[in-house]
Amino acid sequence: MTDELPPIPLPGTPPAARIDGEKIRRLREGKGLTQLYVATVVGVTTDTISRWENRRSPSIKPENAKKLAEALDVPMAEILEQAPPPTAEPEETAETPEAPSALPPPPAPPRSRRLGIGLALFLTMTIAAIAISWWFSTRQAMPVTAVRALPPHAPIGLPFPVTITVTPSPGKSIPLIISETVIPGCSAMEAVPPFNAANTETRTVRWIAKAEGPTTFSYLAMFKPDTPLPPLVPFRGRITLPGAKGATTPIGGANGVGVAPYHWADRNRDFKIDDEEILTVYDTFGAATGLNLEASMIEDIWSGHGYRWDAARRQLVVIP
Amino acid sequence: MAPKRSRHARFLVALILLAGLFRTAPVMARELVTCRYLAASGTRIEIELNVGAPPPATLIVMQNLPPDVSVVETSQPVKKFSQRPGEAKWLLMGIRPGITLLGFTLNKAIRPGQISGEMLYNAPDSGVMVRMPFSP
Repeated sequence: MTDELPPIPLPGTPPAARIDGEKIRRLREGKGLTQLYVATVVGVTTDTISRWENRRSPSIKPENAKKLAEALDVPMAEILEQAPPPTAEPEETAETPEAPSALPPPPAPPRSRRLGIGLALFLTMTIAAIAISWWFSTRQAMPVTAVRALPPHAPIGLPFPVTITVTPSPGKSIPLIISETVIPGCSAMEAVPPFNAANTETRTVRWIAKAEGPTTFSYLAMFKPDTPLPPLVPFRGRITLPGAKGATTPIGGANGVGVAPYHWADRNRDFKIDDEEILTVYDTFGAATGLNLEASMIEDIWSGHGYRWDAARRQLVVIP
Repeated sequence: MAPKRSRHARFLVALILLAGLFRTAPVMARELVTCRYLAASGTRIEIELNVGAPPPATLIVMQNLPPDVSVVETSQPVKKFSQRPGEAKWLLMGIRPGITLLGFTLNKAIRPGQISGEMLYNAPDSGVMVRMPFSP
């Protein structure tokens, strides 16, 4: 409707006219005019005229006040309220014909505040969208899986194999960095392929390689004598893709080796290596056969009568 | 009605048997390694291994022998040979798909019914150990 007041007067806008509703009613009725007539002259609805007369919305647009005075055939000053006009604080906006409630609506926040809220909301949503997009991109940037294989246990002083099998997505050739960290008391020894870097302070070894299909990286580890070790020695590692910022994934699979006086190939700890165990040795750690696994000892135990743990010398003895 | 119903029952049984045959055929075809004797008597024994792809990493062939018989010579490729009374074992590694022959010579001649064998390997796809006996 054209008679609606803007909620907030803009700079340069003439101030609202505060009218005297009761006087308007008296003038209209005194002149025998209907609300419909007055509403038609002013260009508002009869409901609006009714509200004006009931003093529900004493502040109206100056041009409407002028038209109202013309409709009533009185000077504009005669319909204005005699009390001093209010300050710049906006009056009730019930001049809007669509407002059905008798209570005035709460004042709207200033435009600058609404702009600020909108801007903050926009920025929050933008940041959230970027974060979600980054999360998905890093997930998709890891087209490679890595699985570690470990024996269930190993005695102190006997090297045992650790293999990490890296499998890239089909048809992809992926440069990557494999990092593996061992705890104090456990040493990472020779490797196939050889380590590209070994940091003795952080106890971290690294390979820098390109995986064009399932590729196995192996090394020998050993529990050092006279070093305190937890019952289950943890192994931790990760794969990093140099091309993707922060794209890392932990190495999955086995992540701990128990410390026990049994050969690492003797899975059921019966001081023998049976057919199933020797098949598992070569199936699981076959890629590590280039290492000094002491395979002859394993085969001697398998073909002989087992082994025993020499506690005094802290070593395994094959029983032929 | 009864003969007709009987014919229907026979047809149904035949259908089920036929379906069973088709179902078991692929399972039999999936045997990755088969083993048979080419020679199973005298002093020279020959075993043929037919290996599919992908081959198992390691294969164990176990040969049961009469108590007083021992292996005096064995052919390549043999990773490890182990002999106990009445038993000989081969640990074969690096096997390629196709036919592999395993031959050995005994200290005494034997009759065909006196020997039998067993083959063991871990299935490459599942890791499950397969144990397969064979005899002449």
